[in-house]
Amino acid sequence: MTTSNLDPPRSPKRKRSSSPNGIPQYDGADDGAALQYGYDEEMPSELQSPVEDDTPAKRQRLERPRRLNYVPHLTLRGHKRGVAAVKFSPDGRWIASCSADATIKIWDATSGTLSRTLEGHLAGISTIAWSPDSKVLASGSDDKIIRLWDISTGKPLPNPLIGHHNYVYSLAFSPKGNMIVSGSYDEAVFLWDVRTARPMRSLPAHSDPVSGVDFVRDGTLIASCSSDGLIRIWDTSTTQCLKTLVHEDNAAVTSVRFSPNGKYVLACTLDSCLRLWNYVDGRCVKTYQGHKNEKYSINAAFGAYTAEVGLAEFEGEEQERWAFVVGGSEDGRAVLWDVSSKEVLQELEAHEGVVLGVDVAPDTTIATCGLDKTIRIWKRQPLPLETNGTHGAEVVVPIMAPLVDDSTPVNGTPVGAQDDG
Amino acid sequence: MSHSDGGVDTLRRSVSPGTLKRKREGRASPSTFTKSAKLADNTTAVTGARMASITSADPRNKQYRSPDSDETPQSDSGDTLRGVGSASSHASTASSVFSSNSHAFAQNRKASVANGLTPMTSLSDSSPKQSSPPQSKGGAEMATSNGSFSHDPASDTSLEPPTARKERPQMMLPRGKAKGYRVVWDPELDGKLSKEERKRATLRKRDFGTETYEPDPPPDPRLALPGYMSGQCRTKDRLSKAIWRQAPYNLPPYKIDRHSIGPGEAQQVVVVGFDPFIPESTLKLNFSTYGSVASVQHKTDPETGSFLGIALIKYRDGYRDGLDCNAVESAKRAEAELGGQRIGVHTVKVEVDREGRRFKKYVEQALKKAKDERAKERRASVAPAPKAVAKTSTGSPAPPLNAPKGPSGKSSAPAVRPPDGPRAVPEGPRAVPEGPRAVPEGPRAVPEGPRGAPPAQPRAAGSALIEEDPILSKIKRKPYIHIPHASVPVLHTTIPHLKKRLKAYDWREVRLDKTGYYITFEDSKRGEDETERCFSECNQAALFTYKMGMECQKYGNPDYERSPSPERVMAAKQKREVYERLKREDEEDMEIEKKNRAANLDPVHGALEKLRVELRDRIMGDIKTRIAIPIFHDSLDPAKHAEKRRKLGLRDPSDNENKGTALLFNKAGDTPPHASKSRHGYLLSHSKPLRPHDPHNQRGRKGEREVQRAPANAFVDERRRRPAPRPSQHARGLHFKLQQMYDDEEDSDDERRTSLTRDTEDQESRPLSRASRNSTPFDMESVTDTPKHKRRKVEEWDEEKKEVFDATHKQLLGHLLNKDPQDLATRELEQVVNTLPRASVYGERARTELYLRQRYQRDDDLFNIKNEQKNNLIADFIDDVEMAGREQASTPATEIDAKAVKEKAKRKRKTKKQILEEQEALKAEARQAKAASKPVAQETVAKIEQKELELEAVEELAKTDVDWAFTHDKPRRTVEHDRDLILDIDGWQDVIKDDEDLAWAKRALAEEPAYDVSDVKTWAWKQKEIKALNSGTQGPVQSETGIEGYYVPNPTGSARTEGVKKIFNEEKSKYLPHRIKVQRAREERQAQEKANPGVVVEAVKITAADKLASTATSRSNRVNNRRLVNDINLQKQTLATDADVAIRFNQLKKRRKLVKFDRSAIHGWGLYAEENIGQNEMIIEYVGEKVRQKVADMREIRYEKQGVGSSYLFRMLDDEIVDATKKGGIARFINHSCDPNCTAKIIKVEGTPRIVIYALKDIGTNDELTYDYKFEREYGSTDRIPCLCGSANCKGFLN
Repeated sequence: MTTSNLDPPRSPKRKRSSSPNGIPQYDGADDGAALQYGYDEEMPSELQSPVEDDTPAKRQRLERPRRLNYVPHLTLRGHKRGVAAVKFSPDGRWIASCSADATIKIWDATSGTLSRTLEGHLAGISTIAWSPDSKVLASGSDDKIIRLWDISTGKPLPNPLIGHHNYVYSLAFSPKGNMIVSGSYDEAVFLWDVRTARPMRSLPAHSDPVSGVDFVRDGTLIASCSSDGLIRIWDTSTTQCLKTLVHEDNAAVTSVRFSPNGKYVLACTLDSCLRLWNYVDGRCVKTYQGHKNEKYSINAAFGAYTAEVGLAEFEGEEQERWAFVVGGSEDGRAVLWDVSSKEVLQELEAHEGVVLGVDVAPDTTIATCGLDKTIRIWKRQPLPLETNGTHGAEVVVPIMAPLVDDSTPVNGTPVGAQDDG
Repeated sequence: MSHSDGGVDTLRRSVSPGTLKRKREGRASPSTFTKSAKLADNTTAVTGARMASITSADPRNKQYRSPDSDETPQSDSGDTLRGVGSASSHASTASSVFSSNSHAFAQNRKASVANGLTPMTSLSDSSPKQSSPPQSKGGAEMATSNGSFSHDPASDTSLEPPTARKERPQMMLPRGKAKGYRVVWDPELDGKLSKEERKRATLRKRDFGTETYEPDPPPDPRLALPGYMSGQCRTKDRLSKAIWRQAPYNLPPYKIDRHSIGPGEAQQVVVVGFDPFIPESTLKLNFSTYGSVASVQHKTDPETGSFLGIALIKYRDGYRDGLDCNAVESAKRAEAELGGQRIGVHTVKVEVDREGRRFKKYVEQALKKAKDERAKERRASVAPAPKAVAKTSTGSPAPPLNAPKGPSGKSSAPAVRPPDGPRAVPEGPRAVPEGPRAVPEGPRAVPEGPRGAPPAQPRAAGSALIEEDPILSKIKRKPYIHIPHASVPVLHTTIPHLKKRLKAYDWREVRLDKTGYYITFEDSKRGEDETERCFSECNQAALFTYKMGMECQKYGNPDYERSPSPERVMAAKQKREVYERLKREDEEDMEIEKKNRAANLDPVHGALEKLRVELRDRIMGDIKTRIAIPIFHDSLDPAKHAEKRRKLGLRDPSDNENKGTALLFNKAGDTPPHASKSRHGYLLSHSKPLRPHDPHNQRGRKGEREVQRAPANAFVDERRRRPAPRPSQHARGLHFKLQQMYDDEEDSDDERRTSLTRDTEDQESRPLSRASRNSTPFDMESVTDTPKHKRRKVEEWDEEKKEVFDATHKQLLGHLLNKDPQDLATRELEQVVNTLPRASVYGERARTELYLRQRYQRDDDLFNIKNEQKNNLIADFIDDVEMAGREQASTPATEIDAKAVKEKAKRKRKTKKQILEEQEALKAEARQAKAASKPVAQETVAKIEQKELELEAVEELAKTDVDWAFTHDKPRRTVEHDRDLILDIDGWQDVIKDDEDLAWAKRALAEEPAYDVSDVKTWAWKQKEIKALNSGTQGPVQSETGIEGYYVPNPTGSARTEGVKKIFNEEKSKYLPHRIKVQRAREERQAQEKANPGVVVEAVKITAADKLASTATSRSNRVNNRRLVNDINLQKQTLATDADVAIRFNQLKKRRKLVKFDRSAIHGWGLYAEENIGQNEMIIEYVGEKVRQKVADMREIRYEKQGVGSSYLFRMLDDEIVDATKKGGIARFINHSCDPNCTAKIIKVEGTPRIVIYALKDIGTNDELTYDYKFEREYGSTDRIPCLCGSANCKGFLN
């Protein structure tokens, strides 16, 4: 059994057949599950017969763990000031963290040892981005400069990207590694050519600091968001604005991220919501709540989880996976939501103070960082036996969170086993 | 057998009267064929031919007979009958069918004749000779051989074959004549009759063909087809392209247009047939009714000079009666309307003549005709003429005075040949009585006129005696004597008297023309002698009352050249004609050219041409005077040639030698004061008279020059460098003077002014001594310049460090604070020092000043040094740090003596200490600042410093081995600290030079908390690395390696850790590039305004000028556009109506200005002018979708939802809103301003309302365009849009 039989409106073909008017119908929980982790668009869809649609979904829901058990694996200390962002390298070997103390630290992802400290910025660093080959790290600092660092030597590449007129606020590498998109406090989105270190284009669209930028998985689209409440989707090649997403509340958007399959955009807003947008239709599909985010520009990340921990390693067979969203909260937690059901899967009692950055490694390890100058690595563990899940006796959920409705935010009571590793 | 067969055969055919023509032809060939076959059968060709001719003749005979007599050979009557019956039936149809196109048939017949086939014509009048030539030949043979057939018309035809041919019969017989007969009853066939009866009875027959009725040929069915003849017909089956067109295509000739080559259409007409004596003006008048006549060429006979009555009238393009008349049109009209009309009594023929060929042809014809006529006439008169000639020539040498010529001679000698006959003839009776009174005799000549002559004749004859053609040209080689009309008046009556008078000489002729009398002699030696004799004896002799002034030419006409052969004459004439024509054409061209030129004459061009010429002359003159002459004079300098002179052993030139050259070269120095000046202000050297060099003039001149120099010249710039005064010398080389002269001209404006002022003051009387003095002030000035410069410098320095004073201090000190401490009085200084706190810079400076003053007071007391120099010294001392190196050189150092040096040295130590203290303080400050960001451990820092300094100290030792010595000028520091040094690691290392410094530093930083930098060296290295990375340099630096531009450090370190804050607009305008640009521009403007308001006025002027220029261009643009619109409208009319849509012309588009959009300081985007735009000029049209109010409302909501932060809806009419959000022009980017520079107007363009943005005031390049949105006011509304226009009178909200 492959991952194919998930939800009906997954593949384009499928979507077309199921919704004749071209607009996918989002009826509650099922839709969001279309967010597949990984690039599995081309999967055969013949298995998904309309008849089976309901039953497997139910069955999945049954099978899908209601709780996740991420436990602190490591705590990385070393930064002298608040850590603004943490990022796993695409190959999963490294963790990079940047801090307001103007340094970047490269940690070994497995052991948690400090590999390098990259110094050279004159001011605090707000954002970092890994190149796809995991060899170069880009960092954007308050000194308006974007530096590219060679991880192997720990030295910056000779030509920094200079051109912003104020703090560099957000960064993203293109999937091919040839371009960098950066958002800044000067309200401009710059598209840089990495090789020449020159800005290729400037995307002028926002009237407030550009808090988040991201490339879609094939690099053809750029998403940018700003405190003015707009999320804009750009065509990379023409640098035309293709879509503008805006919510009625017009809350400042602090982070934007394409879903792994590139169909949705996840945006964090300062009204304590995470929103999943179908940017094609310009509609908000899901809203995740349960955390607090009113001031800080907090990252969010997509992740995937399987029914059981570690099974994938032992069995060659690929496991069924579901997507989750993890986002930081200003009360020190990191909250995990199931993408489609919007249930809170777990709340990580991560930091003292604001959790600024979260990232999920390819092996679903989670890293969080916060204003408390530390970085935490979280690994998933099987649920403890004593707490019963909804279905299996073998699954124990240490953190109980009530099932939440769409409307009511959760104020769960986390009982996290803190480990100062 | 064969013969009879043939005969029968032929007979049968020939008998048929109306044989089918075509059939006959078809049959004819077989018949002849059989004939020829038979001929071939015969043994001899001759007999065959004969037989053939017989056979052919035979039926003819019969045929001829048959209509005449009813008797036909009975033997073959049946055959005949049959033939007739069948043939007639055929004939009727055939004739009817082919009658319509008989010509085609005729052709066929001809062809058959040509083929040599004998058409077996059965027609009565057909002759045998119509047949093929061999046959006719045969027939002719026959006719000649035996006369049995001689009665036949054949004989006639043989005589004149062509006429016979002509008489070819018509296919249709003449009407009324019987074509034949028809047997209506044949007794032989009547079975009722007996045998006898049958014999007796005769055929009853009836003629036919006599009927007058001619059956109409049946209509050609093809003609029923519609459009058959015109070529429009289309057959049913081939509807598409198959057009059978019978009518020939008549291609119209190509129209002559501007693409055609060759001569254009005819512009001239040739007129023939009018009365040759009609005056040219009448002709012209006649033809000028059709257009303006360029020229009328009425041809004359080149020989007789009479008009030929052929004229060529050329038209030209002109303007008449308010209409343009084209030459071509005129010519055409003339041809059409005047052709066949009458001019006078004659009907004229008018033809257009493009190239004059027709005209030429006519002329040639006419000339030829005239020539022929003349030739004929001559031929006719040749017979009597020679007689007459013979008579005169062969007659006695004595003048035949009373030799009356016969009437024939008179008649044969008409006006054409006047010299021949009449000379002798009419004069006979009159000769004696007529004296010099010839004129009254004239009328009397009429009754006396020779007999039989018409009354006009004698007059003509009389006048004819005076030959029209110049005789001289006809005289040729004959010796002659000319009596010019000046001496003897030209009267034909004189001739006889003259003859009589000269009877003693053997002359040949006495002729008379306008120029006088010609007495010709025999063309021989004798004649020449005779001529000479006559001349010698009769010259100046009297003839009546006249004196015969003679001119003897015994060798004939001196100008005579042997007349060329007629061909050559013709050729020459043609050549001349061609030449004349070319000349005429050239003249015409010239005329046209002249006219064109006159039309195109541009005064500007003329003026330019003039100017150019003038300028060139000027430049040439300048080159001559300024370049060439100095060079010459340089080379003429005697000093230069000293060596040469020495070589050649010449002595040095004295003053006298210069005199000579001075004569040659006029110099400006020699000009009198009132010398005329050129327009360009300098003296024209050539306009002066040459005068000898006056050495004494030098002095006066010198005086002049000096006066020009300084005193009279109040406006001369003092800074201007003057040439060093030359030593006055009595005599100078010419070259020198010249050089001076041009030197003078170089600083021309001054010179000019002085030369003007010279009139008022008598400069010449200036004493010499004054001149020599004027070098001193210069030196003074150059000396005094420097302190000024210094003072300025100090002021600058002062401005740099402006201080902000407390209110109390301001109150206390008042205006003193605005002054420079140097300018204050000592008491004031004391006041300032007492009032201001120690920290105040101003106070510090005042203190220093005060101190210095006191000190210098003391110094003065001691050394009595001048005040000024002291000041200099003070100034030097104050800014010794900055200016030390630079200004030392200029300070006079000599007066300072050893004691001062000592004191200064003391001071120096003291100051050094002070500085050290200051440094420590600074260090402490810096440390504090550093500590604020990162608490540095004092010890560690100190440690670093120590370590570094240990290293450094060694270096310093090596470095400081300069030559130690006392400075004599001013105090100096042993170590020069760079105060600008940034105190980072490198800076500190640079500042702390030795242990003492380190100790001080340590003490200063004692209280600082320590900061843990694990490994000091690593930390230091890292710091250096970072610095190197960001500043690109290593080592101590002067400027902070920091973040360029606007930077506000985040309290928490980075933007992300800081959280999201609301950023206010004023903050944004500090870093947003587009706002910075605007801000900077504004600030610049303001600063400039403050600095000097004149500049602003200037700028305003400039913009005004720009505006003027721009309006000019825009106006011309508009004119062009209007023209374009007119063109297009014209085209629209000519083209189909739907082209209207295709070329919809947007006028507004054309008039728009160059604009661009960019980020705006006001809101989002803005529109900026890219050129200067004048007031009230149109800038751009607001383009967008036109929607209704409801749609607009819906859209507005949608846009708001979509986050389109700007409103691009523009209300045009009540229910028409222009939405430029999704589709629209860039005019939508224009922002609102409460103080706008544009306005939006709704105007109607071609009936549709449009929104157009106009400039409300003059807008400069890169100014943002704004207009008032005029939103409705919504006081108290929660949804008010704040206005960010930033203008002075901003209302704060858009609505």
